[in-house]
Amino acid sequence: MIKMDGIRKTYRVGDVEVAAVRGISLHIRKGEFVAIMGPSGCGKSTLMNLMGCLDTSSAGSYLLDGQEVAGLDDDALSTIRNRKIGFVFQSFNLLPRATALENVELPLIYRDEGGIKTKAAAALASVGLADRAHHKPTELSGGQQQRVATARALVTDPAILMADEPTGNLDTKASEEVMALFGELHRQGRTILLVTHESDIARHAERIIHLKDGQVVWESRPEEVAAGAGAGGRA
Amino acid sequence: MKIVSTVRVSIKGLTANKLRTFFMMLGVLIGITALTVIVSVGQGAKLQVVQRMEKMGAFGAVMVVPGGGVTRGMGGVDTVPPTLTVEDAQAVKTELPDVSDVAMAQNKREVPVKFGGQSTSTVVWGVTPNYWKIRPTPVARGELFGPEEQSSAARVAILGPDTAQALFGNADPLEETIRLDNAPFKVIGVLKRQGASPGGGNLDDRILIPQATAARRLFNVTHLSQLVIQVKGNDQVAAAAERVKAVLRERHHIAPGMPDDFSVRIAEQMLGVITGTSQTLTIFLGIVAGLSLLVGGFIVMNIMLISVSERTKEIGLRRAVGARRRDILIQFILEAGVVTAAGGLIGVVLGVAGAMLASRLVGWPAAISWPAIVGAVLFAGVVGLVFGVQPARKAAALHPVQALRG
Repeated sequence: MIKMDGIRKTYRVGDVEVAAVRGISLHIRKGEFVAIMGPSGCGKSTLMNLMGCLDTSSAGSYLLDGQEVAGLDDDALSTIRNRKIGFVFQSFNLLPRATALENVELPLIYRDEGGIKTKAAAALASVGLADRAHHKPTELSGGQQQRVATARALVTDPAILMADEPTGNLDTKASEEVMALFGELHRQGRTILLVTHESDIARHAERIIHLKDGQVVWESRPEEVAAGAGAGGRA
Repeated sequence: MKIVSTVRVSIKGLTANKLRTFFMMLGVLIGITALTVIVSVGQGAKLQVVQRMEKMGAFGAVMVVPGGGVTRGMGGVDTVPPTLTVEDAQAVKTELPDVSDVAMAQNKREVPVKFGGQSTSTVVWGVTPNYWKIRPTPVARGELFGPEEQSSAARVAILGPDTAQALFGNADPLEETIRLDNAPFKVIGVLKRQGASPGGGNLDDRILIPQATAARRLFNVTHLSQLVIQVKGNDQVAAAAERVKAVLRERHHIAPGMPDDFSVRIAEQMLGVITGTSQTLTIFLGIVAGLSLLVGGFIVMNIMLISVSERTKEIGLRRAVGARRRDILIQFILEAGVVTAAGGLIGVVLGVAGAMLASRLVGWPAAISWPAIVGAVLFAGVVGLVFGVQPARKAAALHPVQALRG
């Protein structure tokens, strides 16, 4: 599903070049549930943006769903984001004045397809919020808002679901609610990529990729993380 | 992305912040309202003059008054030069085939009029009976005089309604004898109320008597103060006026290069003089209103720039779920266009209402100029589109990653 080879990303800050991602190669198979972990500043957000086609790499090759992404122009990347990727953000990013249903419809209005309402309603039902379709985000709990955001990510039936700290703004109970949903989606065969700095959250994944200073330093199974973050001394 | 859903997204963006949208509309709305009122009232003023002239049968007629120059010659027989004669009138009628009729008139202002104990003074017009054919002169009571009264120089008079009111109050003036400059005249008719003439004179305060009577029994002069010439075919008036001029110059032995000793006027030309001033004013005010539209455009641009900054996260989200740069660009341009077009439409509604109110207040007809209004709304929309481009480009240029950070 995702195959990255020697991906680098450098930013220019004034005269200084800062390398945020320094040669990352990784492989995520269809149907996998993978977490990317690391302390803040380790480059995991940059990596996420590259994987999500929100940003372009400085060097390296990136195959997404069999398609080479490196070197594509802005319009092509927009189309890929629309067709193949579903994003879930830490701060939900719901349009405040729109209803849950309208928020879920959002990705579909950038396609020339009919049946927007039906598809959005089905996606909302799949996260268990059919009865909240006409509520505004402010009328929903944090957990419910993140489930609406997840429905929005799923409505286009994307190849991969990418979640960046999806529980970062949620309390423990709501976090568990959202992670349970992710677990359920994984069992249904969804490919899920989760970025987090919390090992409690990362342990829901099948495989955990540890990042430090823009490089992959370690891969582990959730049991190993649960056994103790000190196992590799790097988590 | 379909245009319909883009418009829907834009409208959604506008309804999300109603107060801001209202302020964006305001500048354009005021501009269009002002423009609509100004143009409509200006057109109304012109229409009123045209209507008065049509009522008087002014179009298709050539008027000749004695004396050269533009300002002279409108006075009575006592003030104009005695150069225009009955023979001139007959020559015009016989020599020019496209002239169907020539009415002669002598007038004098401030003629004392008496009935019983009541006295007043007004303008007395001696006119030939064919005057009615050229200048519609409806009577409310009694009748107009005809060729017999003209040939016999009968002492008959027709009163304007205001004159009748001044002399008789509510009593019936018909068959009564009034005294014009002490000469007795029998009242045979009272005119219908006509209001003001195109030049602003009061058509309801005058007395009409046969021209022959005026010449022989009242004014004691033979020269005329006005010729009213009916031309065959309304389109030929200007050409006919030139031919009338040529005939009169020859009769008056005016050498080439010397100025006329008479003035030829046609309604079409007078209309130009009268409406020219109001036209200039309308154009000037229209420019001011247009400038206010431009100011409205700048307001729209500034508020849209603020809106783009505030909605950075929304833009980032839209980009993340697949909106291309041009989708964002079109969305924000359309927001500006929709808001100004809506402001324009509301402005038209308010402007039409305002124009009708204004016409009621000043008492002339409201002429709603739809081409001007459609043009104004289109212009408002274009203002929005043009001034929306800059904020929209700013929105579209945002990098998705940075935009998502807010």
